[in-house]
Amino acid sequence: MTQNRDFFKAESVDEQVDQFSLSFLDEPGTNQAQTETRRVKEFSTQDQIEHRQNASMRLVKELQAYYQVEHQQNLGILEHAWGRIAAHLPANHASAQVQNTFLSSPLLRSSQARIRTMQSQPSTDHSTGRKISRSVSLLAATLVAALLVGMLVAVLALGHNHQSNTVAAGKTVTPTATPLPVGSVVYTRSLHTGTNVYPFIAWSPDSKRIATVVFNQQSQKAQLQIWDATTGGHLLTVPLADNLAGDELLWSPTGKYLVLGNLLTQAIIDSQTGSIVNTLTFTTTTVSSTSVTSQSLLSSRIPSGGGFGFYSVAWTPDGSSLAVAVSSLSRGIVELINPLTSAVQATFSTPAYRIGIAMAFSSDGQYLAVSYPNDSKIVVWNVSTQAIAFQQDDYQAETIAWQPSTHHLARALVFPAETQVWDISSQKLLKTYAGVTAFTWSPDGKELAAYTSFIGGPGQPNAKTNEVVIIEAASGVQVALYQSQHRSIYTVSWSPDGRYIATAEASSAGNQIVVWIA
Amino acid sequence: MELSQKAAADDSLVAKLYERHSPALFAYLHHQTGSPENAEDVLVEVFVAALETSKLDQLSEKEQVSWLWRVARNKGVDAYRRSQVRQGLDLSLVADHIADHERTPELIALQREASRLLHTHLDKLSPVQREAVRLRFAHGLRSSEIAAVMGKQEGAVRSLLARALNFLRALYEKEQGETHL
Repeated sequence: MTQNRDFFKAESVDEQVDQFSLSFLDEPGTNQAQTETRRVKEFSTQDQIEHRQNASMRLVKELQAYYQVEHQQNLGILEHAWGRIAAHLPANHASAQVQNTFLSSPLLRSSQARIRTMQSQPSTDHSTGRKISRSVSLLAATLVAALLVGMLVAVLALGHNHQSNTVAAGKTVTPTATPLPVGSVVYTRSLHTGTNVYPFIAWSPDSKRIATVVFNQQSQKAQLQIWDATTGGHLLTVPLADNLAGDELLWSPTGKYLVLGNLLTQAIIDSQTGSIVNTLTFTTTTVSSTSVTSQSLLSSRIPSGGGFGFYSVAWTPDGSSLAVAVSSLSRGIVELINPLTSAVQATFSTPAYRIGIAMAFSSDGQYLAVSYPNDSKIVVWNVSTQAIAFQQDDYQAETIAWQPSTHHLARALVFPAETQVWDISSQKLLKTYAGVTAFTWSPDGKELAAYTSFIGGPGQPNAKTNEVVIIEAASGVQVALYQSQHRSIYTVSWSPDGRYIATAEASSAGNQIVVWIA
Repeated sequence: MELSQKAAADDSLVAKLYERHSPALFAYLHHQTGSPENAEDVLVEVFVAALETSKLDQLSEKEQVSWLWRVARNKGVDAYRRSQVRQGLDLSLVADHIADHERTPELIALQREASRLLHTHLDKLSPVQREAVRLRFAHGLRSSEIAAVMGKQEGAVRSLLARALNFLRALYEKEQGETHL
């Protein structure tokens, strides 16, 4: 296909599709057809225009017909969702207004009408300013994101120039560790086709074993796998009951147990035998039936719509207790639990925040931090008194982690893409790492392994998903770069002895876990 | 769930925001949560939060849009943790933001009936192109919105959409025997 035969142009593709969409809706509207003819005159001679237009119009019509069922389904969902939102209004006048837009017009038309109002038409539309500001805002968001990525690239480039020096300096810390350069792959553990890896990897505290959970799509069964961390040799496979497929897998600091679980169940598993030694169950009796989403016919299943259950777990640094963020109707609490008896040892309360998505103990066990991104809060408790020591507003962090041996809390945001480190004792911002959306601390706290959050989204249009950058924490300078052969990296986990990093990676051929020199 | 007086005064603002931004937010959440049901739940949570916040009317429109996307993103993350992860994550599908969303067999059958030919042609597009075309026609989104949903630059979306349509159009012409063009 040659360039001059391309009817649809990148700069006007939206408008071109709109033109034909509208003519489809209004057919046999001759006026529309005439307008189009005028608009596309510049492209070619009249004869060709008609042929091209016919083919293009047919294509757009066909596409609309092809997607019409899905489109109507989507509009139906939007309408239904608005009904649910409107139920939260004190009076229903506003809801009626908007509902009409969706209900009274033919579905395709209402969508097209919406699209039309978004076009900027300076001569006739008085609210152009707002509409432009809308596209400007998107553009601005994109630019800001691009700038942040650019800054990261700049930092990386800078780091690259200094790489040999810094690495040499860094290596004096662990001179006997290994002769292999950082990023050298020790082994790759490939998973069978159709087997997915959960986005977590747990190292045993002695760095000798690695555990993860894999899910076989054909059998729909999950299993816990434990293997020799240095050779990749298989040690243990534990088939998991359906209710145990987990959100999180953590090795206890004593090395004896693993905790694996999801919203409703957390199982304490013996790491040597694979047997379940205790199970914590979220009791639905505490869940009131007046769920926020109970009006939805589509979402009657608790807990997927309600926000109840165990949202995150963490071992205390001495391994004696398990902290569990429990979300219920009105608020979230954190309970410190004896992992073997389920006895509650302490309770940490929040003012009103519900869903604690990330949780971490400072390495000395003095502080416990929980991020409530939906409420834009990070709460830090003093563990011994259960009093709130520090609270950050306006931070929607999915990842939080204490710098080892300090009271510095790092939190990663995807939008804007940055990681900040706060000193909790002085309540001061210490550092910002631009462009870092996910990270893990090195065990000595001197470095961070930074990567791109697998959740992604509008904040990161150009972020590289197949790289891990090792950043020197104090200077923010890149000291090493690991580039995967595979398309994407989802999880990065540093071995407790600091020598290796394990990454869960995906390629078109399947998923694998790669262990490399840190 | 108590509504403040403030929020009551804001309801027309939220309605306006919903009308304008819900299709793109829904498409994004559908993508993030993996099912239309979960996407609807999260969309409701986002706009109920918008009703309950007292600060939305003090923001510029740009900030309001950014607020909505931020909340949607975070709630999407939450929903994602609640549902998809527990069933195992096909990492390779999430990789390029190109997951072919759950389509029911009936839906596929209906679409097939609507155009067998087009179905064959759509299969020839790259997954990314197909996703952009789907967001355009099944969600009614414009390039800037598709860009936000797919995490790409608007210019890139415009190009790939134009390329996809030209490609389909060429195939179409060929099938119809209009090879003289």
